Amino acid sequence: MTSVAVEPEITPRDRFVALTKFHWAAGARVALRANAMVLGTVIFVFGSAPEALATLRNFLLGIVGVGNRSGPRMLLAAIAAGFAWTAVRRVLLGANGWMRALPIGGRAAWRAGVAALCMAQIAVASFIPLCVLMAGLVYRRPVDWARVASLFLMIPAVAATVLPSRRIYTRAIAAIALAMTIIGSWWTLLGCVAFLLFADALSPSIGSVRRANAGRSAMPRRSSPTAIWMRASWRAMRFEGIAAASALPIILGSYAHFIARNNPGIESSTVATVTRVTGALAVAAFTAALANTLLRTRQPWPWARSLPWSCARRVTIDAFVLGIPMILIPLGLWHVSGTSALIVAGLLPLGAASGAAALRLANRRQTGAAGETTAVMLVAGAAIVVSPWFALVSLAATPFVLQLGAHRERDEIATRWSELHHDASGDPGWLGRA
Amino acid sequence: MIALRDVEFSYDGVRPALVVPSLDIAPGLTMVVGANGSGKSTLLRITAGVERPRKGTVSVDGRDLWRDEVAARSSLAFVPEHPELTPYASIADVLQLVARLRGATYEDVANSLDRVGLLEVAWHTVRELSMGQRRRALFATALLGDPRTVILDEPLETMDLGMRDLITAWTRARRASGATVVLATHDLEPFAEDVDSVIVVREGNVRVVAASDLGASRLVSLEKLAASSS
Repeated sequence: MTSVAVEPEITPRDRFVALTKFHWAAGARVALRANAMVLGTVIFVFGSAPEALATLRNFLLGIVGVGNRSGPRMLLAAIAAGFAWTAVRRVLLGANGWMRALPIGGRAAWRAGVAALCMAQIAVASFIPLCVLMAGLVYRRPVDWARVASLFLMIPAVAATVLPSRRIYTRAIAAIALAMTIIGSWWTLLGCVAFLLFADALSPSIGSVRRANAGRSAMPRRSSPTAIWMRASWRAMRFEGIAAASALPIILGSYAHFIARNNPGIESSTVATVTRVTGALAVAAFTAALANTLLRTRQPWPWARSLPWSCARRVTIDAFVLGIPMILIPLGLWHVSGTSALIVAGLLPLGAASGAAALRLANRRQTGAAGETTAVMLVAGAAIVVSPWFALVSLAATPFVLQLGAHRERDEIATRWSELHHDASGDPGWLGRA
Repeated sequence: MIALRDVEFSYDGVRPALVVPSLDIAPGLTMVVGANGSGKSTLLRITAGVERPRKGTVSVDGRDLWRDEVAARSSLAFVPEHPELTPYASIADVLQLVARLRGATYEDVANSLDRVGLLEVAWHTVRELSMGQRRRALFATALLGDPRTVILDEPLETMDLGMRDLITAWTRARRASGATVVLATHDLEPFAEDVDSVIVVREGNVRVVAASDLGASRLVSLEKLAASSS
């Protein structure tokens, strides 16, 4: 008699567990660190509110208290989506590539992705019991248990909504489930479970589907070199990159609103000064963040230097790439103080030019393009706070800064730039290297 | 005509990667040979205006590459060894950019893409292409307009038979039209009979050998020159 070794059977559950563990180790755990930014923003915004404790009380009771207010629950869902969203790219690294060759089905892969994104929302999960305790023990208000139970389903619903799926309706179904958790009654709770099960039953799989360019001709429309360069740059930065760069400027800019709105008797001259201060800070922060985003995501494209266009032209185009999104700052400040918003707008050309110039030396600096840009813009910002007329000086200085950028562009050694920084594209945070 | 005078270039600011006291590259086909890491690509990149020498001047058809940037590059086509294209531009974007800057027409773009077999994927971004396709796209940019100076770095590398034939034939045609063609390659045979001069690069120094000095068996002579530089 010979004994035959029997291979242990690998069940679908084993595969799911293995993949979930991998996602946790490879992506979700790292994503928790990135979530600190979302958490920090939330704490900062709440802490900046005129009546911070009252705002927190309203928020907590709106989430778990009796009543049908849905605003705070929508805000919590948005925060949870922020956590999950920052984790998606890390969790899904390889999900559309080598991981598809693994012996695991599409549904299990989808479930594991959802589980990983649930883990990334751990801060929300731990916030729920805190809400219940605060409502019952500190504020002594009744708790609506249907709303509490719905919150725990909000986490997988957010994960399934945020997770890219090869079937577009999977996310739509999950979004309906998410909307039901925001309402938070027992009936909607059951509906949410049903919709989540429905999404799961459709056997979705992770990943986005490339849509065929069926309606397109082989050749696209004619574009100018400037438009092509700008398009490629913005495509590299992605909407997410620009949105992330705008987080701090939004917070800084919101101070002007807080102060103007919560102080009815405030003098218009004070409002104007506050608008200039917050606007100048927002411009400095946004320029620096945008410049670093562009630096991190766009390859330097050395070959383009052999084309018949000048260094000055490339720097000027980069200034437009950075400057156009910054128009949002004076637009956002317009209804607080129109004149001050115009003065802040006067800083934009210098900010865009200094960002474009700083990009040219950034590969030699640990702060990338942000350090120099912030320094220049803080000085210019301080000047317009002291006297608005300095906005004209800032405008006049712009051509000289562009010239400096062109000079740097000529002297840049483009060949090794990419080897030193962009080849490590798996690490999106090379600027943070020791 | 390309002229380099007192050129020095260094990547780290300390060790010179290339030193060229004087070099004139006349119209015709000039082949650059040398061992790996000898400075061939650096010479080509300086000649193409990708890198600016720390010292000295480079001029194309009498125009300084760094003082008269646009005019000096207006009739220059460079195909690097590595397809250094930003991953977020589509192929059509890349070709249109070159066409607009070089004064070629919209139809030229379509024709170039068609010749290299990329017309059907014109909408695809660079990151969606294989290495060979990226190199084809870069070669397609050289087909645009009527470049009088052509600089090719390992043009046959990773190319299939059809593309190799296209590149070889196009290079011959450019040479016949009186253009200045400079190419660095380890693949000597396809170009051996058309060579007008050879630049041997060794440890960052250059030496020019005229075609008349190559003797009857050009390929053998070229192979010897390439071997002597290593």
